[in-house]
Formats: sequence, structure tokens, C-alpha cells
Amino acid sequence: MMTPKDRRRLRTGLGFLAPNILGFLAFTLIPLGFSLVLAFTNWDLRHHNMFKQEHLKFIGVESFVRLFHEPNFYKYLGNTVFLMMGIPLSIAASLIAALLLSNDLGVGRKRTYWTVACGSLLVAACVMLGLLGAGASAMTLLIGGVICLLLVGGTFGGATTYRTVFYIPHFTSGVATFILWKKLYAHETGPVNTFLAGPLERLTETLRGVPAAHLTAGMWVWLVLALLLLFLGLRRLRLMWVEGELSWWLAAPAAVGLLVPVIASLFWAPTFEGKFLLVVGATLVLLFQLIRGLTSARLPSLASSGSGSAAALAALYLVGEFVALGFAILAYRLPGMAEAGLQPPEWLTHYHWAKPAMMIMGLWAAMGSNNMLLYLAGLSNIPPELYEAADIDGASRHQRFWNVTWPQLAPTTFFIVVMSVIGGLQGGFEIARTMTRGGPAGSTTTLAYFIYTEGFETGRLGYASAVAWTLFAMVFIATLINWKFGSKHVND
Amino acid sequence: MKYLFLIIAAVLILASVITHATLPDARSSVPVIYWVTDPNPAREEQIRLFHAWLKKHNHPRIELRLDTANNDTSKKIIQGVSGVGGDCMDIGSGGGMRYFNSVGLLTDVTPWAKDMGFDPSHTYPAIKTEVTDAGHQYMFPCNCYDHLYWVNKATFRKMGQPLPPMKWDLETFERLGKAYVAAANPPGERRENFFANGAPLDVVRRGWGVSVFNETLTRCTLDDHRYVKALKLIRKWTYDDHLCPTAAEVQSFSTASGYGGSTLQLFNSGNYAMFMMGRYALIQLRKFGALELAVSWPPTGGMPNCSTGTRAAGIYAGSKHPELAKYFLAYLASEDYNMQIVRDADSQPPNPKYTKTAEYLRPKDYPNEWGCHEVFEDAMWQIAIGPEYSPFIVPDVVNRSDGEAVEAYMSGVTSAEEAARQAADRINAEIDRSLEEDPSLQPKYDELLAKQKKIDDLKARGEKIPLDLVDNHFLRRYYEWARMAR
Repeated sequence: MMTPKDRRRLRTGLGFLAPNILGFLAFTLIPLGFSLVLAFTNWDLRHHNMFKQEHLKFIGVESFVRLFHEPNFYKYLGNTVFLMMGIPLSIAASLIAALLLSNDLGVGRKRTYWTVACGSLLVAACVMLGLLGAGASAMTLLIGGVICLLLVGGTFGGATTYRTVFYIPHFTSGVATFILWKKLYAHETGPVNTFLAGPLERLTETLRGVPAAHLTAGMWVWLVLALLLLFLGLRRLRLMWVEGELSWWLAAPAAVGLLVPVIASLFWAPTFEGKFLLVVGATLVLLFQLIRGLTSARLPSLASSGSGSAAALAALYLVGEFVALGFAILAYRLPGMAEAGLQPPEWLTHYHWAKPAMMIMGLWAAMGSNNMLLYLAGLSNIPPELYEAADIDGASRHQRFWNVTWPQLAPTTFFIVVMSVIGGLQGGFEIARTMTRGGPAGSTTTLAYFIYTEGFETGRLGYASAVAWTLFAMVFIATLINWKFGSKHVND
Repeated sequence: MKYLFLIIAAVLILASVITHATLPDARSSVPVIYWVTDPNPAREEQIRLFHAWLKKHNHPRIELRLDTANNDTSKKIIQGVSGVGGDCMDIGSGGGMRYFNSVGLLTDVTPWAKDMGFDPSHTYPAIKTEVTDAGHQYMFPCNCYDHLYWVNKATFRKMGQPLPPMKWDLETFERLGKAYVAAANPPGERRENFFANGAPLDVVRRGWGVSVFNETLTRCTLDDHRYVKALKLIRKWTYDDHLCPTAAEVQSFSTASGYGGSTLQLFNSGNYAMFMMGRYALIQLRKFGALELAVSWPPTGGMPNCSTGTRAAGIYAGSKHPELAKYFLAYLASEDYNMQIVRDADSQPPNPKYTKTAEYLRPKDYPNEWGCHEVFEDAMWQIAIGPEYSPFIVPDVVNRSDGEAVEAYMSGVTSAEEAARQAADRINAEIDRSLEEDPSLQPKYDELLAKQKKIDDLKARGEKIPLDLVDNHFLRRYYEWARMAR
């Protein structure tokens, strides 16, 4: 039974909470619920708005069915997933940045004076070169000057200076950085390609001096390496199965996953001999592992045992095989490319380079993102006793990282992975709109950009909502998988 | 704490009241209407002239205010359907107008236009399809433009190359272009000098009689061997002959500021000997000093043509003052406004009768431009043709579908044949989807299909086509030119 005083206190509390709750209801929850309803209707701005009040029809799952029959949907989903392949690299980059920034910089020691002296000398040299009119390399001077200033600043300001500098990409306006990167990526005048042009030219000269047969031989090395990765992957699966860590019905799809690159390479492997080697090699490897597995005594396992490990293992080896096969093709084409002269890429204007260009930019942004801050916080929370114990045990720096730092950062990494996957699936809109308008030929159109074009360029709000909720479902499933398999490792 | 909370709430309420009391509408003694347009400095002068024009003609007093922050199409759509659109809205094309109109955002101004002197007869015939839809007028032009090649005579002289003729065919364009780029770019060095900023794919396609749609606008007809030929030619000019820069080469030029982006700067610096743009390029070119200018039509292999368009103003259907906003459209047809466009060189004035003036033809401060203005004017009457639109598809989807297919071909991802087929397939699939989603379109579509069958039968028999059967205004012009019409 509430007393009048309790009721009064409740009213006061609700009064304080009301603005936030009302805002959440008005701008988040109700629109969210509304968009879910919309996804099952034929709402089209051209027919349903304050000026055109045609009857709104409930069309059930028609929009979802249409979406799964739409070829562009898979293309844009592919683009989104491709861009997400940069997430592991981004996480690694932010971890490296955090590790570097958590180091003691030794401000006040003797080396400080050396750094100040060298930095000042470099700044002075840049200024002198600028004054002497070295305008053609203005960008190089600018970059050199900035690096020197950072050195000097960091020497005096310590880690705070570097942490601030690293965090700049995060609080700089997205559009401004996208435009900057567009300039950096300019084909003939951009600093990236200006930097690449010299080494590529020298590499071209070197490669022209090597007999073509020697260069092409590299293809065989990479093909064998791909087969070796297949062998190791299948072997690991077999051992997990034999030791009861993995059930057969999870081992089978993982094994098929490992064979995907070999199957795909049948369509684009450069020579018949190459395809022959892959097919014969993969068949032998598969048969060998099958026979070994079936003839071994195995421990029993649960049906769902090892699902996370199998998925992670398959993904890891699959990427490795694809990379090896990619290098095989590159080796095959190298003599021809060297003959024509190796050229820096047309980053944002070439169909195949536009996405990698965006991934590289994402990597740069990730280095100084909130992920870096989270890792910094995580690093500062690791009890020093653990490092002391490791030191007493005689652990090397490498062992300290893998046995202390990395396990202690597991909860942080897990959180970052979850958030990055969510962000990756939802992302790409601002970059695509600012840098490429989704082109060339739709190669950088992500699902988020697709939702925008369907909603506002064609007016199909119902359909756009269906795409948005499909995207939500993907995010939800990805997060569930992360929680189910990721949290286990975190807790371990 | 609760008192603090109440004080903050009271302060916020007070601030809202003060803000509302100081809003421009609340402070103005006359009705205020808003014009959503681009942030061109000339707009201030145009507004001043509008207020003077109202006074001169004893029209009701209105205060016209600029809104340059909401000119983005998505913003206009969202604000429009939310009931808070600007009273007068600039719309960049007939395609945009059709989309806005399909949403119901535009007021049909046909009943007022004739009485107030801003019906389509007061502008160029080529623009009629841009401001009207299904026989109804929804906009009146703020300016009209046709895209021709601007020629920098000094650049040609510097390279020791002959000036391009005003009218030319594809072979002449290619021959002169190859000679120019060979003379302008030292062998072995980075190519920095180009014959033109771009090659006119649509002009070449249309010159050979290929329209985006068939005669009745019911199907896309881009899957045509002549379009494939046009695609291959443009790719050859860009990637093999280097007459025009590739997308990567354009990006490599470090300058990109001002009206028209980097193109005009590069024309001024001699990197482009020619560039394609409307007369509005002069807004920027005049800042570069007295360039030696000439103008050429785009080359074609058949019917001479050039693209045309308009930045036009329409009245928002939810406007609180539509009866006042209509005065703004009438002002756009007036001498006061048109002469200001003439003086500012912001394309062609909407009303062509003001292009006969000396101020248009021979602007006294710019003798270097003499001879150029009449070329733009003549082209508007002789070769300018607006885009063709189908009532069964959103125009932006057509542009996107075709654009993606062309980009895929230019990037080397598909062949020209595949690109043409993909563009047609995507557009036709979108037409089918529109019919499926809006069954009310079906009867009209079926009627047009029956008409199309008649046309196809006539074509199959090699007979001439009665123009009253043809809804596609480009094909009407083409059939007349090719003597295929009766």
C-alpha cells in the first residue's frame, strides 16, 4: 500500500523521467514499431501521404519475398559483407594503437632530448625547404612537418598528445574526412598513388629482368600453399571430431566450407594445369582425411559440440585459401603486368578497387576510434600482479601478451566484435553517399544505401522498411551467434 | 531538485515563446512566402526585383524569403509530405517534377498560367515537356539551358590546332580530337590536356535515333545495336584515344571549386580545350577575365541534337498562400526577371523574347562573348530536346539503372552488349513492378500497348508512322527529321 508520500515521490520521479521516456517513445520506439507495421504494407509515398490518401493495403510478407528475389539485394549484401571483412583488421589496428599508446614514453629521460633535437631539426628542414620554394612536394613537406611536430609535441606532452592525435579521426566530421580521403586517393595526383608510383616503377624494372617462367612458377607455389591450408584445416576438423570436440553434422559443413575456394577456383584458375592440380590435390587430401578419420577410434560428442570452433576454423582457413589462390593468379599474370608496367590502382573509380579503398579508409578510422579507447581502458584494468607473476615465470614480451594481455582483454574484444558487426551491417551509407554515390556500377552500394534509395528516390517506404527489418534480422542473428559462441570463450 | 527542474522548464517555455515571437513570419506585416532554391548570390537581387515588380504592377504586397538550406530533393520530399514545404520550390528537371507531382506535392498552375502570362507558350517549345505532365502545367522555368561545347580559342591556337567548326559529325570530332591530344601531350608524360571534358553519350545515341523508351513510352528500348555502338565509341574516345579524361583522370586534377566544379578551372587553365555546359558557365568564366570563347554544337552521326533542361519553380500543394505564390511564377515570365537572367548570364532567360535584345546578344562589358549567345539561343530552337519520361517509372530509377550499366561497361566489368541489355532489363522490370503495385495504371498501359502494336506493324511493313500515334517527343522529332513520319 502506497502512502501519500510514496505517491508524491513517485510522481516527482516520473516527472523527472518523463522527458526522456517521452522522447524515447516519440522518436525511437513508436517509429520503430511503425516501421515494422510499414514493412507489411504497400506504403508508397506516391500514393499514401497527406495529399494522396489512397487505401493502404496489408500485403503480408510480399515485400520480403520480393526482396529475396531481387538480384540487386544480393549484390548489395555482398558489398556490405565484403566491407565487413575489414573488421578483424580494424580491431587489430585499434588494439595495436592502444598497446602503443599505453606504453611509458619515458618523458624526461635522456632520449627525450634526442627526440626533441631530431624533431626540431626535421621541422626546421621542412620549413627551410618550403621557404626555398620546394612547392612541387608541398604535400610531402606538409606530412613530414606534421610528423615532426607530433614527435616534438609528444616528447613534451607524453602519451596524452598521442592519444589525442590518434582520437582525431573519431571527432572529426565524417564528411570532411571522406572528402580528404577522396583527394588522397586521386589516381595520378593523390599522395597515396604518388607514394606507390616510385616503388611500383622500380618493381616493374626488377620484374622485367626476371625470366617470365620464374615469375609464373610462383603460381605453383601458391597453389600448393592453398592445398596445404586445405590439408591443415581438414586435419584440424578431423582431430576435433575424433577427440569428441565436434559432432559429425557440424564437421561436414565446415569441411564443405573449406572446399569452397577450390570449387570457386575452377571458374577462375588461370590454367588447365592449375585446375587439374587443385582438383586432384583436393580430392586426395579429402580422401586421406576421411580414411584417417573413419578408421580412428573416436570419443563421443554432443550434437552441438564445437559449433563455434568449427565456424571460426572454417572461416579462418577459408580466407587463407582464398588469399593463396589470389596470389596464385597474381603470380600467373605478373609477367604480363610487368611488361605493361605496374600502375597504382584507380582507387575509387575502378569497380574492383573501390571497396578495398573504403576498407583501408575504415582501417585508418578504426585505429583512432572508440575501440581504441575501450582497449586503453581494458589495458589499464589488467592487474599488474599478473604481469609481475609472468615476469617471475620468465615470460617473454610475446608470452606476456598472449597469456596475460589477450585473455584479460577478451570481454573488451567480445564487446568490440559485437558492436563492429552491428555497425558493419548497418554502415556504409555516409561513405557511399559522399565518396562514390554507390558506384562505380553499384560496387559500393551497401544495404543501408539501398534502403535510402528505395525509400526516398522511389518512394517505396513499405519496401524500404522491409529491407531495414531484414537488415535488423541479420544484425540480430549475427549478434546471437556472437553471444552464443563468443561469450563462451570470454567466460573461459 | 524538483524546483530546479521546474525553473528549467519555465525558462525553456519562455525561450520558446520569445523565439516564436521573433520569427520572421510573426514580425512581418505582410504575408511571407518562402522560396526553396540554391545558395546562388544572385537570388538576393532576384528577390529585391520581385518586391519592386509587385509594387510596380500594384500586386498584393508579399514578403519573399529565401530558403537555401532545404534544397536537397530528399529534404523537399520529406518536408513536403509532412506539410511544411516551402511555398515555391526549385526543381531541377522535368523528371524531378514528375516525381514530386506523383507524390502530390505540386499545385496544378494551369488555370492561372494563361491569365497571368506564364503558360508554356511564354517559354521555349523544347522546355514544354519539362514543365508539364499529362497536359497540366506544374512549374515555370527560372532559367532554361542547352548543353553545347564551349571552346577556348586561345588553347587551340597555343597547341597549333584548328578551331572546331560549329557543326560537326563524329568523324570530324574524332579526327580533330586525336590531332589535338597528340599535339597537346608530350609523349611519355602524364596526360594533362584533353580535347573535351566529356563525350556526349546521349547525344550520340539520340543522333542515331535511339530513345530510352519506345514510341508509347511503355518499354525501354536501350537494348539496341546502335546504343551498343554509341557505348563503344564513347569508351574508345575516353580510354583508347584519350580525347576526354577518364573518371580517375578527372579525380586526379586537384582543383575542384566554384560553380561547375573543376571543369571550368581546367578549361581556363587550358587542360580542357572544350567543355560541355549551358550558358550559365559564364557566371564563373567571367571571373577568369576575357577568355577568347566560341561555341560548338555536340557532334552527332545523324540527327543534330543537344540536351536541354530547366531549373524551374513550382508551388507547393500545402502552401498557405498559393494565391500569392502564383505571383512569383508570373514574375519569372516578366521582363524585370528575364533581363536580370540575361545580365547575369544564368543560362537562357525563361522567356525567349528577351534574347533578341542587345544586352543578351552583345553584352557591352564582355565583347569576348559576342557570337556565343546566339548559338545557345539558336540551339534551343533548332536542336534542343528534353529527356523522354515514361509515366510508368520514376525518372531517377531510369537514370540510375542506365548509369550503373554504363559504369559497369566503362569499368570493364561487362561488355557493351551486356550493359545495354542490363539497362533495358532493369528499366523494363521496374515498369512491370510499377504496374503490379499500382493496378490503376494497367488500363492506360494496355491502351498504349495496343497503339504500340499498330506502330510496330507499320514499322515492320516499312511504312511511315503517323505522328499522332507517337507519345515519345524525342521520337516524334527524330521521325520528322528522318522523314519516317506522316
